Amino acid sequence: MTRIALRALLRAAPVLFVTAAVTFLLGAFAKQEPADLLLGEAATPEAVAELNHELGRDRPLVVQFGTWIWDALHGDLGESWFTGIPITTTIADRLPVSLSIAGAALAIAVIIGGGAGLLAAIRRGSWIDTTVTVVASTLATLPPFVVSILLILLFGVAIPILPTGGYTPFTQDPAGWLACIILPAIALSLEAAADIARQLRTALVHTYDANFIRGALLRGLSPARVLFRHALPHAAGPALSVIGIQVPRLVGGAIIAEQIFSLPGLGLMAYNGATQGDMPVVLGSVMVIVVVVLISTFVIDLLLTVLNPHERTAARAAVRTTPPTAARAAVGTTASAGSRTKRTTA
Amino acid sequence: MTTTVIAPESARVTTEAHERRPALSVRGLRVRYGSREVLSGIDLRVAPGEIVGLIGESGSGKTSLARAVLGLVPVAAGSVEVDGQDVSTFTRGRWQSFRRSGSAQYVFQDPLSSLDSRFTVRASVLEGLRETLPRTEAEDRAARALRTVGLAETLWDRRPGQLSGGQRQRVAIARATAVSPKLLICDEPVSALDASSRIEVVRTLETIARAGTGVLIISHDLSSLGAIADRVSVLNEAQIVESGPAAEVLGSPRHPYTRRLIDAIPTI
Amino acid sequence: MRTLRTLTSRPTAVVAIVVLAIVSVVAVAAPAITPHDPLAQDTSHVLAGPSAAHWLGTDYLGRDIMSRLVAGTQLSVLAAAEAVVIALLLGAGSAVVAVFSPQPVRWVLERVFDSFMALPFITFAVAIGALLGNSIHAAMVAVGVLAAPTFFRVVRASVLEISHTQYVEAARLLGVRLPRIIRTHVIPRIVPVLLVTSASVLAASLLVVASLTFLGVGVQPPTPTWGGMLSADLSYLALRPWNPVAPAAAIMITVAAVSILADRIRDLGDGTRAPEAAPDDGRAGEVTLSDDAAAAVPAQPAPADALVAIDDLCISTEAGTDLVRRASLRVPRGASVGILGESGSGKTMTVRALLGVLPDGVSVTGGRIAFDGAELAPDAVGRRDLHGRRIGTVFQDPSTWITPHLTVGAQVDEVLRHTHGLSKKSAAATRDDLFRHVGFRDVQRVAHQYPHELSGGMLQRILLAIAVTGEPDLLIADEATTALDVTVQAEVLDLIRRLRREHALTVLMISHDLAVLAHSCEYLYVFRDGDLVEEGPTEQVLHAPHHPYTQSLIADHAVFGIEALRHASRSTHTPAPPKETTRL
Repeated sequence: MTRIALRALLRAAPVLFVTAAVTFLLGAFAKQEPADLLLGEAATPEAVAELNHELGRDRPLVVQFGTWIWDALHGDLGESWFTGIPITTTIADRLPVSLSIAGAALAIAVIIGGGAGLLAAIRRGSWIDTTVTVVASTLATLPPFVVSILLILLFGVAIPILPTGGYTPFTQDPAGWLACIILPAIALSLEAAADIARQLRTALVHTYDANFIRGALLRGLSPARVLFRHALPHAAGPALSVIGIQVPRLVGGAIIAEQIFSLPGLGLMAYNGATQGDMPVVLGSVMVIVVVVLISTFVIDLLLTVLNPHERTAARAAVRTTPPTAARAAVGTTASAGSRTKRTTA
Repeated sequence: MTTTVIAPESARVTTEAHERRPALSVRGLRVRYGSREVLSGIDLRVAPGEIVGLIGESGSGKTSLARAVLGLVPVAAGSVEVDGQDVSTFTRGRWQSFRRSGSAQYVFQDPLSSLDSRFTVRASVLEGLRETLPRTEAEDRAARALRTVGLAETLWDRRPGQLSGGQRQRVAIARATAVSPKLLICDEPVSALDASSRIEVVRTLETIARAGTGVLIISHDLSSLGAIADRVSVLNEAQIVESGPAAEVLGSPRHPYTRRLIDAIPTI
Repeated sequence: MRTLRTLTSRPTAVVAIVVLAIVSVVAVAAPAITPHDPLAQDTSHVLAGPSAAHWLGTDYLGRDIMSRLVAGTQLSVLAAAEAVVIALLLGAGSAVVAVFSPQPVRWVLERVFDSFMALPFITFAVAIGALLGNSIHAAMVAVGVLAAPTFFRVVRASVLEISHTQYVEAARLLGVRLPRIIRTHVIPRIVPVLLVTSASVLAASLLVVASLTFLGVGVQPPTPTWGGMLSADLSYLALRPWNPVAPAAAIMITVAAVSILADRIRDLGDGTRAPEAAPDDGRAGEVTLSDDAAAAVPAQPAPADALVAIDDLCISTEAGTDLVRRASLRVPRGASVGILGESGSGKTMTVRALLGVLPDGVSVTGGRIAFDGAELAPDAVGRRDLHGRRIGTVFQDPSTWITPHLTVGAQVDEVLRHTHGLSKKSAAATRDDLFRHVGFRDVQRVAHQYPHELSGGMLQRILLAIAVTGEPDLLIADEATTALDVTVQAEVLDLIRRLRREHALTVLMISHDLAVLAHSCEYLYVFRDGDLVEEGPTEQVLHAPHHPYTQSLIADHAVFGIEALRHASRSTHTPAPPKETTRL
């Protein structure tokens, strides 16, 4: 467990550093001059220089970046160049909005996509399978904003039962919160649901081709038991990996949903910051999104580890530090190390 | 029947071989993977023109021995001489030029995976030659190698998928022998083949050896070795437990492990 | 060229190609073929419906929607293509470099692409597009860079696989230089992967471009784009709810065409790989002796007590290839019967038909199968009562026949409890007995081990234990000792013989190895290319074979069999009789 957490941290640190550096570098090349917006076109060069000094923009890039990292490590993400509001305050306001939408979208995607993939796989070749495949392929071609428009037309214009904009915090009114996030979450979830359904179906069909499934059935076990105990844990890996790929898209894609449903989330924060050239805002929001993505990746890695018997036995060996088993068993483990690499690359 | 074929051959080997440089001479070889020793003090000699069989079950270390000779795993101790050159001290760059000189070559168990399915027979055999030779000369050498393994010219533009198992393995042998190696190592050369294809491959290997190449055949299958090897060594748990002329070792084994191995083979 | 022809044989692929061709032509020729000026405003015809002049009507400024759609194609499609090219060069190039580079370079590249992977695609593209002066090209560079990890991952996986193949190792052992290996072995093989990935990245990029232009990133307002049109239509949704249909359809149809093409190319890859792996099919066209040979075999009078009776069994593929032709065989109760044949001879299909587990696309096309006097329906339904209860099975490669993520103890318990109805407690006790029965000493430890921690011989013993625990009538061993070491093979064969004696089992053994069957079976059947060419008591088949194929098998054995050497040294030694011999 500690080993896995340590490994995750080791992988997360460079990712955070690289993304921060790239974002920072982009800011340096930005076309927008904050002075233009803050002081207007007519500002004197002296006033501009003073402002840039105030914002710390006259120092060398490396120093600026180093300072930002140092402060960030101490929980200070700076202040907006325009409003002067601390970034952490803005994030605290907006993070719940983004997490609500992305979380709800993920839940919908897993339930609908997982269920559809499972059904399609166990009834493969039937009309259910065909329907799932066709619907999933169609959904994958739908841009999330088109879905959003359709949903607004349906539930906002035709049958106006749900709000099509705005946000109510969960702590104020749970029912209102649900009403606010349900449409954006659905709009956002469909692509992920389609992807999960397709991956789970493929993985399950593939698993059902394996000898060990045939073997379990030939041992007289019931088909339901074989599905849930033998096939599903084996096929869940690829579907989980898809979720790992979809999470950044859900968190990042929220920007579209936020725009259409006018929700005050992190995506819009990054977008508005970028159009104004407000670097602390861009940096702060992008980094928080990256951290959310890294945490979810870590959770998925953890689940994948639990599903992998090689990892489990490795952990057990580490805990017990039992003497090496017979030479045969040792041969077996080296051979299986090869199959593990194969599985991860697949 | 087998013995009559081999007898004059091995007689020639015993008189000439010791005067010439051995194709392979392994002394006190040790190989370790981490803390596990997979070969502990191996001595093995292959003379030019001789076929030596190395018998071992999975995990005995026989594949590690081949990989050590070819520079694919590091040698922990001992010496490995191929055609008089001690390869155990080679650097990476030295290995490259040694390989290009073609002194030691390798034939894999399954030709279907060791031949690129997109390459024609001709292209496969040319591959190694083209590194050092101009086109026409390389083509001459490839043609000679293909004729030596007895592959009809009509098959030269086919791809592996269009050949029988035995033909494929002969292409792999031609690719390895085209660069005129002093030593040819074959890892289970007939195990992946049907019974009917085995004979043609075994005969091909005999032809190669008769032309002066030292051949080391690594196998768990004693029966296929018994038919062609001049001498055999039995490898068990990282050590050679018995060596000697094939008929002697397999016919009247002295070591209990060899006896157990031979008794385990089901008979008709 | 052949690939293209195979591709065009699929109707959906043809439709997709046609759609993409039209889209490409429109994208390139857009300025020349727009019916109206896409920027020309006509305030007298604002938000008009479809008419002869304006096929799709006009927008809120009275501009022709059709013309804007056509003009918008250029930017929407070319921008997406730009991103794909950047992603391809960056991702695939780095992947090849990473695989063939020393560890530190590989580590750095992997970390960098890991980082890109974690970046939220659209947010980042929006941020970059906006930061760098609202430029669509800057945004596309961002999309390309962010999509590069997709190429990196996919290409690295396949290059890694290729770099570990024996043909690349063989080339390295021949001293072939790395650039040549990459050029001749690696690149031609990753082309299909690159095509598929490019198509799926193109589909994703089209959606991103649509999203960006929808948000207004990268383009100035009057410039027509599909996403921008949708965004403008949104404001007039209540007035003209049908206006978003045209741009939305344009996006969806283009993306769908690209996705379908990607899927079809992927199918193609799967399709072309299969025949490569298939064993020699060279003999398919050879004339076989089927009818004569079948006639030559004397009809075996069916013993009254045949546990398995198969009559005139025919098995064919959907394509019509015969895998087994009119095979009849009997397994008498208490006997040990062997089926001999090379791979593809039909021996395994016969057994699978008996078990009702033929692979997809293969079916029984004639004949009868009876078990214990009761005829089995031609399909698998209803045969579940036999599995595990009356028929136990073991196969080649035991590690593939046992579920990898469950401990072996759990899998034995499962069968004891759910197939044989034992309680949890008695299952545990029975399991320990079983493990001891098949020769394990530390039964507790074995029970808690995962399959990958045990050797092939150990797993085969566990599978044998599972197979016999329900006291079945029949044990089927299909190549059960193939690929095991000879000493392990001897142990497993001994175990099968012992289990047969102790459990009064009927045994049906399938093998390509004449000696294995000769040693364990009393009666032999010989298959070749789907025909049953020989049958008889083992002694008779070995010493007086009828069929030339059997004769050649026995002749081969005389050359390669260990007997040749044994005879040389111990002329007094007689071959072991095919009855039971207890060895220690």
